[in-house]
Amino acid sequence: MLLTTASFSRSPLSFWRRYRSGILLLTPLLVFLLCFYVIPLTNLLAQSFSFSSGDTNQHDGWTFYQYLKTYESARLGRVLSRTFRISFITVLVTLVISYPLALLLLRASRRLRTALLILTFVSLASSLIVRNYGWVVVLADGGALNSTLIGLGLIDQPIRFMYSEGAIIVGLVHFAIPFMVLPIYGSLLRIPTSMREAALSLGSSEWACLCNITLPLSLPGVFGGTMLTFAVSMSAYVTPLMLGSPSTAMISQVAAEQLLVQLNFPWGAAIIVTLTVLTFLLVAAYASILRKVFRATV
Amino acid sequence: MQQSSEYQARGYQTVVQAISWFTIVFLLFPVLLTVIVSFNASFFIEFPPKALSIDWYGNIEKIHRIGHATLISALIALASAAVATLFGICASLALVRTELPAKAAITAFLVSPITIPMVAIGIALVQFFILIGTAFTWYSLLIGHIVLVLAYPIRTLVASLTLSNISLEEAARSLGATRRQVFITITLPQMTPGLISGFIFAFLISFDNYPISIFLVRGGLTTMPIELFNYITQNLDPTPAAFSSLYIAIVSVIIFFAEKRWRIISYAIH
Amino acid sequence: MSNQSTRSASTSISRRTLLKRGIAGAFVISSPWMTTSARAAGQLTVVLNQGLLAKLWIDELNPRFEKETGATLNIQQSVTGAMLAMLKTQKDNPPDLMQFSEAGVFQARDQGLLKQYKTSSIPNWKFLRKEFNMADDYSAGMIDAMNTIFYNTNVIKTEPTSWAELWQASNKGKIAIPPATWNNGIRMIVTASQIATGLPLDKAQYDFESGIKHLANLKKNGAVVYNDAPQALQMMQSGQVPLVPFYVAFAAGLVAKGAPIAPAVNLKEGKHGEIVGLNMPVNAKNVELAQAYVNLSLEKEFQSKIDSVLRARCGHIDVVTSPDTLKLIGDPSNTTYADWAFLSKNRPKMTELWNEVFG
Repeated sequence: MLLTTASFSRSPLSFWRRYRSGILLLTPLLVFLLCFYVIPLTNLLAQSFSFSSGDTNQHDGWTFYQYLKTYESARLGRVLSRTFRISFITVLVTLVISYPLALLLLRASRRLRTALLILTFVSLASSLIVRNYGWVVVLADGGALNSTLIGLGLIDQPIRFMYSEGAIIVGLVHFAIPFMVLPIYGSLLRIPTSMREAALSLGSSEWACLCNITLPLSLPGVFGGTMLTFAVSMSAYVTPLMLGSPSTAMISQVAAEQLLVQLNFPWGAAIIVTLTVLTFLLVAAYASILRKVFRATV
Repeated sequence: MQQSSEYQARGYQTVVQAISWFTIVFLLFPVLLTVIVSFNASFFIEFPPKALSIDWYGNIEKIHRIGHATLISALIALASAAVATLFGICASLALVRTELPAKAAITAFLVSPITIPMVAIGIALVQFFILIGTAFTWYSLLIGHIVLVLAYPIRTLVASLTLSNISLEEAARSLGATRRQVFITITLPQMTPGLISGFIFAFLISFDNYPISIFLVRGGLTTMPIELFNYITQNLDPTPAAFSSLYIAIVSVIIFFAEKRWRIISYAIH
Repeated sequence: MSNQSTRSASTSISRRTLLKRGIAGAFVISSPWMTTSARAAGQLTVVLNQGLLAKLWIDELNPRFEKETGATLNIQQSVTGAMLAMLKTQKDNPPDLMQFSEAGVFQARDQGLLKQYKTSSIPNWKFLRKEFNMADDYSAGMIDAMNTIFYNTNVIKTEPTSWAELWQASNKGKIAIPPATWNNGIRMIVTASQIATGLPLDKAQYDFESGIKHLANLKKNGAVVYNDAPQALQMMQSGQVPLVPFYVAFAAGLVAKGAPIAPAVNLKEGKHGEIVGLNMPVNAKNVELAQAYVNLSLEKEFQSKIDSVLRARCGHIDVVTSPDTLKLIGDPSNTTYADWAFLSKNRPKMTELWNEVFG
């Protein structure tokens, strides 16, 4: 049961007594994560501070060489900004098209709502590879989109949609929609309907109601969805692999190439660490902006 | 005044509906197209199909080791979801019902695998397993998937438990129930939405994973996404369309049935 | 707030425990099924190359091998670069045979990763053409995977006669090139160097920096990079990108189906030849079975299929290249072979430079 102690003693015994049940519950999980998550990742991190066999001017001990190499490589700079650009656009587009869907779910009849939720779940349950292949089919030169445009007389020659940044964004948005809709919908459900009714009866328009009441109160869901979408896009691997070309490579692909093919583990590790730290910093900055500016609890 | 607000309301509704239906069509579109292409007699991906045939469905077995791979994927997904959910129950109880130092930090740590690129986890794990000599075995693949999906049940269970009513538990205790009885009859049922949605999410994420599996498999061990991906990148024909259609059909039937019988989706959301 | 009901204990527990017990049970039953250690003797692990190259083995040779020896085959597929990585990381437990080209053989041999064949145990070895015996019995070369410019016959009306035509302004936006992870991608750098320096292949190939610089001009000419074989094939057969350097063996099937694509059979700077063979890693466990596999692959009946199905020159000395194949591969004397010992040693540097331009 909950121990509510008013006094606060600092001896180890009372520490143990107070936190005992929590610590016992968590221990197996923490041990598991320590062995198979913390240690392997620390090993990877350590490797990023060492030299690879093909490097020049080697010496023993720690070095920032791999990070310097990452920083100086023009290609990696391009890849990083491309990854960030793609992720940012993906989050924006997904948010804009998912929020209305969540609003629709709120007002829909039970049957429609269940049908739409089933659709969302089926989309989620279909393997990513299956879904990306679907986009290959749609965006191919002989695929549905081109055939429709040609059929409507808008173009004569097929447009090359595939193997481009646009195709990657489409694939990522398609992947991210369920991750955005569900948290937002969950968060919209927690807004008491009386608030909206009160606002409307006091003369507010629907749009004002949306901006002043619904949006701010749904921010936890919005944050959850956007953060997840952003993290997933930044580290995307399969989607750019299937829908892009070597010229549209994203960071995970570059790192994987170094690690799997070139066997340059130190540099590959450095690239991955850079990606992770960057994503983390961006998400943390985003969270703090939401907290300070919008005073939301995320 | 009345009229303009009516127009506004209608305008609002139109915009919301228009964008929503666009999103719905957008979600459905590739699925529909895949099904159509799978019946296309032509060897190339063309639309609209000039002739129809079901030959590609017969060709599915030509996808290298696909039956074996799908079975392995399913078993690994089941097992990793189960273990992750168990861990999730312990973690959520600890985080919500007991006292712990630095709860926010612990929660952030437990959920952090989501924010790490999957490629990083895959590579880190394969190097680690090579070091301890158990690389490329089914249990190292399982461990990799557990790490991958752990965060999902934890998040949904914590949410579920946070929303649940602790006064019910306290009432039961004061009426004389033992801790075990309270847990089984009150806490666990209140955690059901989180349990179900966490398990389902974990299963789906694991079944469909490519970046971690690709590093951890070798030899006879392989997963469905890997074999499907290999086929797609080496062959031009629409056999993957047939496989995808079959896959989506089976998944849809299962989800539809599960919703009808156990109302899993409604449970997961509310 | 939703209504929460506390259900009675008995029904909810039994369902959940049943589920968990079922999972545990399924796992126990299937775990021996999922062990990955090779069963003692009687299993051969072969890593084949991609696409049609591997398909011929999978469709024609493997069933025969399994029937004749009773062994089971464990087939994987990969590309040369990844296979080399596999050799390095799996030195203690490598596959038994790997199918990759001379692009990897010299490097692998020099790094002590390959085992020399005991040719006395392979009766059909005497039928192997001299030039297909790579690195002195270290590789059983079987296919000359020739690579040339494929063009879409509906869009490009005259067959290209020189690699330099790719750089012409009239072909702007009509070219695709292979990635540096493919061997013909590295050959593109070499050919670019030939064109830039004006030297013949055997001198130009050592100056890859000029090659990269000239290849960068191809990017200015609107060249795109393809990812994999289906992508390249789709590009050329749709006519959207009508000039694509590609392997004849991978496209032969499509040509036979009547797709409007054709190879350029006579190029001034030479078509790219690349011999692909079966190689045995050092420390491979099933040497006898591997030798039997190689022996079976060197049989005349199977080798002649390399000519008739893959439309490539094969390693068997008695198989005469058929006229249909010659139509696709042109004059064999126009095919050039590179110094892969040098190229593979410098491949990481070349790839890095290539990535800086095209990545």
